[in-house]
Amino acid sequence: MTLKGKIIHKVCLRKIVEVGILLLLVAIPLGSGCLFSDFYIALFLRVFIFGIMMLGFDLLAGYCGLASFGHAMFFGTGAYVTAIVWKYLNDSVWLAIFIGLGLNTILGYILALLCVRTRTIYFVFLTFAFSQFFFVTANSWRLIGGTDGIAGIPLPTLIPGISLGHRTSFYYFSLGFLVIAYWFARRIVNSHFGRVLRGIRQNEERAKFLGYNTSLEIRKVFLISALFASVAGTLMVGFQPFVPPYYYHWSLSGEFVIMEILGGMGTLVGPLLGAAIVIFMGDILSTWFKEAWMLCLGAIYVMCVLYSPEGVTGILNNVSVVGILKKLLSRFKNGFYLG
Amino acid sequence: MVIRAGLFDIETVQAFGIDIYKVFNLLFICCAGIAAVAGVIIGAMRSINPVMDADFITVAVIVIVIGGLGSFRGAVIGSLILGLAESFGAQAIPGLAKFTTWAIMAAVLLLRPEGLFPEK
Repeated sequence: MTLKGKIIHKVCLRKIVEVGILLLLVAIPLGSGCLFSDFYIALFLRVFIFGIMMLGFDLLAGYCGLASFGHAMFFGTGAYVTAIVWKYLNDSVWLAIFIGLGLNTILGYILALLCVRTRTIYFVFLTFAFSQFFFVTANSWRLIGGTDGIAGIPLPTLIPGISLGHRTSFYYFSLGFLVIAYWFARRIVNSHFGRVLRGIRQNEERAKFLGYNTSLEIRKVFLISALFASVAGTLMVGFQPFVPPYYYHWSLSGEFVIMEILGGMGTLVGPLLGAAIVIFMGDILSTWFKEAWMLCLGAIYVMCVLYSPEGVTGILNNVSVVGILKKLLSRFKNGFYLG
Repeated sequence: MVIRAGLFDIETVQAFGIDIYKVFNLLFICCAGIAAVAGVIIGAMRSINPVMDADFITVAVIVIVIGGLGSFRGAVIGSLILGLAESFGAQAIPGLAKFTTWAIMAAVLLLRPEGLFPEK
């Protein structure tokens, strides 16, 4: 088979898998109530919402190589704006999404201008510092709830008269957004812009030398990932009508990083898988180990970083057992230092 | 010297016949030891709780960034600046005490990413 044929074959295979998974996800609510409890619908919803978040995060961290440790600020802003809009203004879901997107555009634009001046570990610190600004503000400002957060948020409506309050209808709504987000992210990755981003990750000097304004490209992708996070924040409020200041906390940003690394950076599918693994693992492990489930998740995370730096997708891509054993052996020989 | 050389170019250091992984392991052990000493002092000073990590890791990050990565002088002066800013900030604008420390960190990162007292 020629190289072109191989690539076409791979893309076809991926499309088939994507459509298959989509059909499966569409079919899942049909089985709730008889095959499994309604609780699993909620878990899947959580996966979708974090999945949208992670798609945006992957564009920035995976494709551009700039891990942000403050992505919770966009998520939190989306959530807070939504809560305020639904509680005091109007319970239309579209209004909340658009106001959230608008505010996050302004916010992302300003922060991108500031953060783009730094790279590597300094970028992590700077985004971290900015997200802490928001956390401190949300935590101490009584007008938006302070430490208590915002409670008593009404359920959203799709159009006046049709409520999205029911779990299943909100499930399909979120699934629709996830599909759109995935399609959008895939388009970005396959475009010229996506290639430039990968070029920046590999060698920024060289990308600059080729005539690309790398700062501008980084600002663009920062803004795009902020918008993904904003939509995720809005959906999160629809799913859970309560907004705590935790949505701004750096430990939530840390969770995003864990999902990203567990799933595999720069693959789009990987972070989605990572989100699913972290959420389902949290559910399964906490029934087995009660409060100690974080310990097990931590151990799995460390094992993943040590033995499969490409994450779960890395494992799925080279499932040959011999290869994995060889890799393990060479890792043992070279010691455990992560260079 | 070996550590800094290892950070700069790990393969060259290995070519000199130094077991760099062992050196890094030793370094990590020393770090843990020093942190343990600090832990003993803080335990004698104030109450302890299992979620202390979040407080101290953020404080450590801020101090290191203010002083400059890889600079002992910077770490000492940075911690002084941070402590003073936190207590005087709390007096001047109560309620936003935490805000001042993060503002200092962001300002330092934006204006002098290498820290206030970089190693020469």
